[in-house]
Amino acid sequence: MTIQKEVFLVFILMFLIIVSVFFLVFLSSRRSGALQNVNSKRAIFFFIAFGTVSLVLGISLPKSPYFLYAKEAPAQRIFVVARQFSFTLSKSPINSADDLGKSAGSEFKLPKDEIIEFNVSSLDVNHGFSLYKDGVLLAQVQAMPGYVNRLRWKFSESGNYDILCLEYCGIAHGGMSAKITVE
Amino acid sequence: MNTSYKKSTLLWLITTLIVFLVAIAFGLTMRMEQAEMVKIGPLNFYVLMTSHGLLMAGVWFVAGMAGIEYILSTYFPVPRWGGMIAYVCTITGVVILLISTFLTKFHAGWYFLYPLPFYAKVMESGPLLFLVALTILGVGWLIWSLVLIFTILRNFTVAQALAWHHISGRPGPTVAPFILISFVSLIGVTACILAAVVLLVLYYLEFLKSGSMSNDPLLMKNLTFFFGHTLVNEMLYLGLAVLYELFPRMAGKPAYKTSWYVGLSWNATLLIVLFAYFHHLYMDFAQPVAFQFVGQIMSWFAPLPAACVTIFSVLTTVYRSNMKWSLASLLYFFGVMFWAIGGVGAILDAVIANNFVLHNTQWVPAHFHTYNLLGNVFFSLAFTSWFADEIGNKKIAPGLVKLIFSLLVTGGVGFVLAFYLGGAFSVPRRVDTYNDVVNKGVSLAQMAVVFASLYLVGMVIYTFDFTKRCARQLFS
Repeated sequence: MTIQKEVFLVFILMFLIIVSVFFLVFLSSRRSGALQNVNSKRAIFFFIAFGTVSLVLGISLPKSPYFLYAKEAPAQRIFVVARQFSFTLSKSPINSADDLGKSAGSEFKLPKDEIIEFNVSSLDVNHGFSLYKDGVLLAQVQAMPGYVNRLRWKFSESGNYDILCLEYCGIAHGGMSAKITVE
Repeated sequence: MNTSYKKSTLLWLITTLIVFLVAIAFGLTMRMEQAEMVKIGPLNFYVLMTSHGLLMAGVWFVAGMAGIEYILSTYFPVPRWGGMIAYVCTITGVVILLISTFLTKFHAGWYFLYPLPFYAKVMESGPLLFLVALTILGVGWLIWSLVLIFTILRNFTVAQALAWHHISGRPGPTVAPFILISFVSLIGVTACILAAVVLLVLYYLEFLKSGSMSNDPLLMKNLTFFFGHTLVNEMLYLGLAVLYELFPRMAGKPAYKTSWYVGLSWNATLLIVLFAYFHHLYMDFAQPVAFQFVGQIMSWFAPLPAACVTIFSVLTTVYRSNMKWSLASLLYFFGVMFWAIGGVGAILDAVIANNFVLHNTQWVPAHFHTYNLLGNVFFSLAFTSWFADEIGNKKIAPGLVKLIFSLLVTGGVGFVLAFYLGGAFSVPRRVDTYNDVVNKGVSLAQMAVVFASLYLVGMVIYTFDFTKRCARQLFS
């Protein structure tokens, strides 16, 4: 199951819990009689919430994508430059529009099971560099002018991958894409 | 109470409801384009997207402020000129904004991420008109916020308004939760408008250089989201301040008191909310990792004080209360429920590891529409309904209460569910049409159109009924 679908299921579970609690309290409003020991119940409610938050932070922060393969050396560095409304991928740095001729166009081949470091930037506005496989978003990073965002990724499956722009960048944003073939 | 307060509040509320209907129609048209039911083209789509976002953020901010001003005027005299300047600036700003989008086709999106405004233009005057519109809105709202802050400070010291004596148990004047939450929210509003001022000045300076990029994109992005995120967050709290005042009355319970934990919670919120915006920049890996962690930690701790205290208070108020439900109390109670649900959607997205695959997908509009369309809007509509009962000649018909509430809840839930499913299926946000990679977006957009139409029908009925019952008071 994808991370997105796991998150969706957690959300639906929480949705049902919250709706149930509110609905039960709503139904109880037909009767009289105040809740007893409100302060102690509030304290329990707060400490459960505080504990949950601390637990989630402790587990999830180390899984942040900034640490993906951080201690390993990448097999390849791929330089990605976005501009309205295309991506250019190259094995050599692209510092300006003059360097775009060095690129391999919008279709690119990469090896499977090797760490690739994408060095992502933009020549004009903010864009989003995202990797899709069979319609599922696997990874992304922003493409920002004047900065290089480094994303390390290992393709575990061969096949075709789509790159879509995920940051609104202007009139043709919806059509801004490229392809990678992994083999 | 002076009738001029009632008239000016009524004017704000009628204006808000009309602009809301227009903004819903813009959003509905966008979803119809994505559903392939109409064909307006990408330029018109992004013109609508820019207008829709700014109108929605603006209209519910001013609705929250109008509620604060009205309730505050039941405590102390509030100078009238702050709200009047804000009204003139709001109307002027919105007209110029719509000229910039519809006539000059400016289409950089509501948070106009730098340097897109210099690119997303069809006519040279577009970005300038847009910046002028934002400046007028910002000036009007800043003056309004400061007038309300100084009204509170004419009656309390800063320490008292922040309820520090309630926290420490020292003697001092009683500060109602409404005053505390309003003060905290108005400080936040002022902070984010000041960030917008800095942002606009940097834009103007660059505009004078004919758009040659002279600003740091990462700094501009931080300023943009500090302003945008904080504004949207604070406008929720404006609605909550009024809820703390009115909801216990609706339930026939004693007024809420500022206990030590309520005081502590809202003081904590004042600080936490200013740092949560970092979660908008998680995918900018160039941003220092420490800021990213602060973003996640603050985003997860933010709900603890404000949400937990509010949710618990509302639940215990209603539990076995034997209360008589009205449209206003229903909207408040279930508005808090949807605010909590939207909050769950938000904090799930605020986990950096989740954001890696959810950022800029439809999960984002899913959660913010949940706590705006079904949370914040419900809070403001609750105030509007209560206000209508206060000043109107007739009460709303019981059958109409059921009809409006059912349409808003069914329409709203179905509408946001289409977005959540879009997030689960990796469908990007802010695209006019869906390509083959993400073509599930089309059927989800069709689903959204059906439910958004129900919500729109509910709002049309609500607005018609409210206007029919209250508009005459404007001219009495």
